[in-house]
Parts: sequence; C-alpha cells; structure tokens
Amino acid sequence: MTENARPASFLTFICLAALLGVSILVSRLHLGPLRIVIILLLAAGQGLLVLLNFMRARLSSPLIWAAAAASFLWLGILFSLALSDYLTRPVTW
Amino acid sequence: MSLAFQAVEIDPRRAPENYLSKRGIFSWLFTTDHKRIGILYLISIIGFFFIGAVAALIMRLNLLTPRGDLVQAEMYNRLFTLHGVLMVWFFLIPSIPNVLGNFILPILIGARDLAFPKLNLLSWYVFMLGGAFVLYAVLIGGADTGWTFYTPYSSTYANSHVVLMATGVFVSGFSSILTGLNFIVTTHTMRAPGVTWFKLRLFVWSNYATSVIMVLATPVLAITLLLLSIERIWKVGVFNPALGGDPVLFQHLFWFYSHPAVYIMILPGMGVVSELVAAYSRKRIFGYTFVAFASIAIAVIGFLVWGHHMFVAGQSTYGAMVFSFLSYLVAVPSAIKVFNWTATLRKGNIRLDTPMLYAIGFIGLFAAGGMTGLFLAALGVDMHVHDTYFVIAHFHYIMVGGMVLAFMGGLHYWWPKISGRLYPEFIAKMAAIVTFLGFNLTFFPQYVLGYLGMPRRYHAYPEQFQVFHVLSTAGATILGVGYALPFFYLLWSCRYGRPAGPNPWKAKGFEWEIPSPPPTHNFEVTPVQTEPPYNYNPAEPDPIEARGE
Amino acid sequence: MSESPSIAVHEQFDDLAQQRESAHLGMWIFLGTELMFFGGLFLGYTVYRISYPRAFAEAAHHLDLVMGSLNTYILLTSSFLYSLAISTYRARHRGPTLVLLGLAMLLGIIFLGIKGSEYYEDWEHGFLPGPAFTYQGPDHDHVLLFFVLYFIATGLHALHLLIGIFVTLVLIGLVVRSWFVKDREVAIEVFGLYWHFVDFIWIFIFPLFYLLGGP
Repeated sequence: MTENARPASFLTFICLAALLGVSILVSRLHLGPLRIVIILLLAAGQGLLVLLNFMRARLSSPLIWAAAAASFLWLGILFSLALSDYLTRPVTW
Repeated sequence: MSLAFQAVEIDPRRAPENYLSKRGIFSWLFTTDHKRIGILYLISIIGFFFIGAVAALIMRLNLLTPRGDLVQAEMYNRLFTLHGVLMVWFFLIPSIPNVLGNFILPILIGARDLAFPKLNLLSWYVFMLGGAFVLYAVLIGGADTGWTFYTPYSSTYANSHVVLMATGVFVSGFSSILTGLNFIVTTHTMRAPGVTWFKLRLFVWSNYATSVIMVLATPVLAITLLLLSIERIWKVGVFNPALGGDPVLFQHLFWFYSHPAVYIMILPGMGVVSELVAAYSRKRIFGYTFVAFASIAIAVIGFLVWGHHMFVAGQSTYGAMVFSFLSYLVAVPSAIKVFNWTATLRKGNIRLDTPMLYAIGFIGLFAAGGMTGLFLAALGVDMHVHDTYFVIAHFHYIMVGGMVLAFMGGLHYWWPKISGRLYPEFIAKMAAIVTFLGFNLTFFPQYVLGYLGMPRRYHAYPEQFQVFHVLSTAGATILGVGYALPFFYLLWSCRYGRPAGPNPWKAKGFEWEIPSPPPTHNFEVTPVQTEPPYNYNPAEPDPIEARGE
Repeated sequence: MSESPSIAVHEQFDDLAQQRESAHLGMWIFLGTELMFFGGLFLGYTVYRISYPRAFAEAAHHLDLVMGSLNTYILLTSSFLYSLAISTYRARHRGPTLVLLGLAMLLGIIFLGIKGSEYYEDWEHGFLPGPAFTYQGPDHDHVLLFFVLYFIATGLHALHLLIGIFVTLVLIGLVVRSWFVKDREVAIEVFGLYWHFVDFIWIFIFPLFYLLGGP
C-alpha cells in the first residue's frame, strides 16, 4: 500500500493543480451566471479529491464515512433551511 | 424516620480500594478518572445553579409588586440575562451528561473509562474557564441582552459586558464539544463483549444522541458569538442593518444551535427516565427499539425546526410555514417515548421510591410542557403568545419540570453507587413532593399570565396581573425548599448514611454488579453481556426488603 | 535498524486496534465540528453575496489574485507533501519523512508570510475594516461587509494553519526522538487529516473571495 500510495498521491496533486488553474482561468471569462456555478463545481471537485485521496476516506471504515457524510449533511441543513428564508423573501430592490 | 447524626464509619483497613480512596486536592485536580471528573462537574454545576437561582429569586421578589420597585429595569435585564446564561450553559447542558454521563456511561458499557480521559479532564477545565469569564462579567455588571444576545442591540447599542459574557459561553462550548466527541467515540469503540447496539442501555442511547447534537450544533454557536464579538469590538457591520447587515442572520445562526441545544438539555433526562421507569416497574422498557430510535429522531429532527423562534422576526412566510410544519413533526418521537414509558408502567411491579417519584413527575410535566410547544408551533397562536410568559412557562415546564426532575431522579438512583451510602428515603420523598408542588405553583400561573398578555423580560406590569405573579413567587420559594433539601441530606448521607452495598435497588445492569463506590478501574474483569437490558421479571416478588426509617 | 518495542496501549483501551480506531474517529468528529464552524461563516457570506452581488464583485477586484493563487498552490503542495510523509513513515524511511514534514511546514510558513503581506497591502490601500477603511465608492457599506467577512475567514484559516505548523513541529520532534514507535504512526495520520482539512477549507475560501468577482 505504501508503494502504491505515492503514484496515486502525485496524480491527485496534478489533478488538483489543474482544477485550480482552470478555475482561475474561468474566473477571468465573461460567462454570466454560469461562471459562478462552474467555479464552485471545480472547487467542490478539488475538495472531493482532497477528501477522498489525501485524507484516505476511501480506505477508512464505514463509520468514518458516516461521520464525514453527516458533517456535510448537517452543513447542508444549515444552508438549505436558512436560504429557504432568504430566497423566499419579497425582493425589495 | 429520624435523621440521626451518628456517623456510620467504615473501617478503612477493611474497606476495599475504590475511586474515592486516594486523597489530596491534586488527586482530584489532576485526575483522569471519569468518576472523579463527574464529581468535579457536580460540584461546579451546583455552584452555578445556586447563583442562577438567586438571580431568579430576586426577579420573582421584584415581580411581587406591579411597579417593579425592588430593582430597576436595567438591573432586572442583567438578572434575567445572568439567569439564562448560567442555567442554560452552566447548569442544564452539562448536568446529566457531564455528571451522570461521565460517572456511569463507561460502566454501563463495561468499559474502564472513556476513550479520551485526558480530554475529559480538559473539558472540565475549559468549562470552569468559561464559567470564570461569565462570573467575572457578572461581578463587574453583567450583560443586559438576555441569554439570546440578539443583534443589533448586543452588537451595537448595549452598554454592558456583552463580549465578556459571550466569551465565557464560547469557551464553555468547547467543553460541550469535547464531551460529545468523547461519548461518541467511547460508545462506538469501547463497548464490552456482548454489548451490541440493541443491548445498550437507553441512557447510553440518549447520551449518544445528545453527543451528536453537541458536536454538530455547538460550533455554529461558536462562530456566531465570535462574529458578534468582532462586530462589537471593531464596530464593523455583520449583523448591523445600518451597514447592510441582517439581524435575522444572527437569529438564524444563533437558533441553529440553540434549538438543538434544548434537545441537548432534555434527551439525557429522557435517558434517565427510561432507566428509572424500568428499574422501578421491574419490567423491560416497552418498545425498546422505538425508544432508542426516538432518541436519534429527536436529535435529527431537532435540527430542522429552529425557525420557530423567529416567526415574528421577519423571516419569510414560506420559511415560517416550513419550520412550523417541521416543529409538529419533532413532537412525534417525544410522544412515542411518553407512550412507551406509560406502557412500561402498566402491569409493572411498581415501587414508588424517590427516583420513581421524580420519573413520574417528569412524564407528566414534560408531556404538559411539550404540548404547549405544539401551541407555540402554530403560527397564529405564536403571534399572540410570542415573547410572553406563555413561552417562559412552556420551557420551564420542560426544563425544570422535566429535566431538573430527571437529574434529581438520576442523582438519587445512582447516589448509592456514587457515594456508597443510602440517602434517607422519607425526607427524600418529601422533598420530591415539595418540589413537584412548588414547581406547579410557580409555573402554571405563568401560562395564564402569558395568555393574558404579560410580556417576558419586563420588570413592571399592569395591576391586573399581580395575583398570578404572587402565586408564582410563592411557588418559587416552595420550589427552593424542594431543591435545598436534597443538597443537605445527600451531603449528610456521605458521612451518616447507611452503607449501600453493590445493589440496593436490586436492579439489573453492569453498574449494579460492581461495589459501591466502584473501584478506580470499574471492573476487575471485563464483563460480558449475555442478557438483554432490563431483564426483569415482574412476576417475581419484590426482592427489596422493607427498610425501616 | 532494529524495531524498538511499541509503547503500551493506553490503559483505557484493550488493544492497539481499538486505540487507533478511536483516534481516527475522534479526529474525524473534530474535523466535523470545524466544518460546521466555518460553515456558519460561509452561510453569512452566501446570504450577503446573494443580497449584494455587485458590491461583492467590486470588492473582490481589490484582492491580489496573483498572491491568492500562489498561496493556493503552496497550500496544495504542502498537503501533497504531508500525504507523502505518511507513506514514507509507514515504509520506515525516516530521512524522507522528516524532510517532507519539514517542507510541508515550511510551505505553511510561506503561506502565512504571503497572507501577511497581502493584509499589509490591504491596509495600505484602505481596505482594513475599522477606522482605517477608506474606500469611497457608492457601495461603501457592502464593500466593507465583504472585507469584514474576508478578514474573518482568512484570519481564522490562518490561525488554524498556525496551530497546524506548531503541531507539525512537535510531530517532527517526536519522530526524531522515538522512531519506529507504533503509535506515532497514528499521530502523523491523524494530524495529517487536520492539515488536509486546513487545505480543504482554503479550497473554498479562495474561490469565494478571490474568484467569484469575475473579470
């Protein structure tokens, strides 16, 4: 496992660097609202790579998966219910 | 029946080594034994409770007369802030998890200690540091924002020690997080052989659910208080509408934690009640699996309802409707528990010992308080009673009528294990009844007051409300007696109580198979669980011989 | 090199596997709390970005994209090096492990240095919230809001990184002094999780503040 980890890590690193580069480029383009979506998706992709590869979440037990997933789910609860207020308020500007 | 003062000494040469044997202040301050840490917490929270109770007493005395002439409005605001902050974060939240949970949870799962004993000790020091900040803030004048710290008053306009108070609460939050983390890991990794999830004691299930809430909710409180303090210190707008900030954002962030926090406060109490109902009906809990899952359901659904504190704050109507609907949902698992406890009582071999009196009191008062929660979840009704005494009565029914009674019940149930001594039963029963009566006299009139329109956090009021306030204050003094009695007789029992032996209640569970007080490492040999929990047979005759008092 | 006997398992645990599992689970739960902590802040950012998109875009243009990008690459690299360090430690290659940990730490210090210089620049140009804030545009209040959130987010992140640097220093010392001791592996793995998490948070802070403003 130790010998295999190094090539995998390096590949992850290259992908991360590439995704970062792309997102910086995209931010310089005039893509309208799509720009934000793409940049955030690229960030999410980088986050996933760090989570799954560097942090070896895939090599850990189901319990660890559940703990990590729960945190993200709860963050989702915070965002979705709070935004359900903000996004349904009457627009005043 | 008399409270004799003949010391029942235990010969130290023949007494077995137990967790209390090692003497000296440093053996306490540097302990990593979960049982000692539980005692450290017990002493601390009693201290904080006392201060919070004195604040309440002064408020209630002031409210005897409509003109509010005992204290000024300014002082009154500081009193209810101090009362709320201390009672919520320094008494209710740590009470059962950090006292009873710390002491008994590892034993219930057959472990020698928690997973991280040093983190456990750290959590107590962090707790005390938070308490020191708050007490210092109180000594130099306190805050007047209410325990809810609403912006922009707290962040911009208040002239009181908001940042200090908020810092104390912020610090105490880390104690919560460490405790929750410790309990979750312990429950997952340190169960003895045979202790599968569905053979766990319900007290463990409840504390596990509580710990999940602690871990997921408290960090949001931390960032909220941090943002509040930054806004206040550097006068920059995060929640200040004058600078484009939204005060409702503060409320969203604050209540995202503080609503689940009320479940942090009540779930451990429910766990204790499950234990007491089983032990004192000598019967398996009806619907064990449902009760276990109900704890998890309360923890999860409890995160989805926070907007019901903000119905009149300015959130969108659609958001309010969603939160109202979800708030009805959260009552369901609580109701499941109440039904299951009641079903357990049916055809049980019931013994009305002191802990059982507290448990039954809990079931009734929690149900009453919980039902008024449903009133509050209805948007239209909430418009009328929001920010009135109705809300105060609602949460005191649950927190004081429920949680504090559960804490007392658990403390009495496990007292022989903790101290090795029996408390005097007759006086204990009297104290429980006095507490129950005093509680109802204090808080029932407050439902009426709120419905009639008396606002909360007011130091003066129109004349027509006076009779209810007088009743409430009278009840409060009786309630105080009910709390004071156990303080004295439990202390008395430490020296003069009869030695308890390992299982005075003839109850089932790992904790009753080890000596009282337990040895430092709990078990000589790691126990193995072969039977289901609460393996009572109600048909067999009551094994507890009558004790003459 | 002969293996010294492993340190006894802490007394509350039955065996090394239980101790290891507990350490890992404990760290993941702690990282979950950190995620919720930053998450609250990100909610605030989201609410205000939705409310004031123009002001936030304008404010973002005053951040140094070059420095920010450089910093992101630096942190990414240090995360990668940490990952390698865990592998080399497991393979019992002491020298490379120490070098990798040291480099990762060094990159963290460089990150902080660059951040510090960015802060200095921001202050010089009048973007530090407080009395030194001198921006005069039409969206003054909302630009101020952006910078308040920016300084809090990056400041908290920097604090977490600083703590990470200190702990890495301690870890390096431990590795130097008691080599081939089984529970050090857990310490490095578990702390590596923290380091990667600090990188993870920055992966979101960077685009939210530097990139969403547009060209």
